[in-house]
Amino acid sequence: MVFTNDGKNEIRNWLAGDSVTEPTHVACGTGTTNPLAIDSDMESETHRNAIASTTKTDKQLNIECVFDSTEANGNDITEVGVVNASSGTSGGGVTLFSRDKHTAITKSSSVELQYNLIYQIT
Amino acid sequence: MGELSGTLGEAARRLRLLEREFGQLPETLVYLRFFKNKVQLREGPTIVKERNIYTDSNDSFILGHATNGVLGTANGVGGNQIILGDYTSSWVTQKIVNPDNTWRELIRDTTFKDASATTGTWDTTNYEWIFANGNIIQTTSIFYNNETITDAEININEDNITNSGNLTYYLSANGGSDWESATLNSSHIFTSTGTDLRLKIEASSGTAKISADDSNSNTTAIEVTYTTS
Repeated sequence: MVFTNDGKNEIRNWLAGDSVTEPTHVACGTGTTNPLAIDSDMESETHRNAIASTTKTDKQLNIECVFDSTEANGNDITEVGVVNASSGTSGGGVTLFSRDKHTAITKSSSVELQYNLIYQIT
Repeated sequence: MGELSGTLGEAARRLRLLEREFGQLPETLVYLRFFKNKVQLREGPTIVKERNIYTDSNDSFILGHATNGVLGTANGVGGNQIILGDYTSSWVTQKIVNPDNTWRELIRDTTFKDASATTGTWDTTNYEWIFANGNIIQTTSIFYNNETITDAEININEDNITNSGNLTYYLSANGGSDWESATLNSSHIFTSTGTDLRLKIEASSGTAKISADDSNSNTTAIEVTYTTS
């Protein structure tokens, strides 16, 4: 997982006292390129869900999101990202905080996917 | 930077003028100090779990069915107890990937603790692994992504280890089937390769402790870096 420059700048804005929107959703997709800090959007998004839960421990945040049996079906899911809106892209002011990729999981109606994403502050 | 230097230079010039105007001693020095602190936001592991939902005959109750029509006493054709509605399996980890091919553990939670094998104390209050003599700290999968792991290296700041000489380090690339002894802060090439990386540390000759924080609460992650083919 790579924390993006756009995500870092959102934190900078918050430190400066600006009004910012925190991560609210997790997107999954079929993009396969390596994640980079300069990424502003998912490569090939197929579905986006609200974050199911967050767990805070000292200097660490765990984000959990589930894609249920009706969502993102018919795709080989390889990509995940954390964003701060239910839809839209960077062109519309949406921030992609982090992006990651993994080998494919075929999503169908008989499968549910759960993502656990961990941010660490040291 | 040029603009900042110019501004600072101008500020210093004005301070000198003020000192002159108010008659302060020439040896009076005015320091302007700028403090910089480093906060690192690190991306941790991404864990993907999957569970199956059986919506057909497998383990759902079917009235009149020879197997799935018997409630409570029999397993369905899917192998689990027959239930009303859809059967849902447990969550099973399918992928674990890490930024820069490096797993980082801060001992903030027990996500990667192998509870069945760990006998030492996985202390999420003080962010420490504590070993009595003979104790083991063992992880579940720390990398698992259908990619063959060829080598790995355990990196722990030795200042954060108490009684380092009492610890023996092991790595497994095949889900714990084969544990290979590894040297701290040195690359280990696996004899038995695989796709499921795990870490085991054993206090083989006395007590020991590994901390993820130093005495000033600066966090230093326990890391395992790996290469895949």
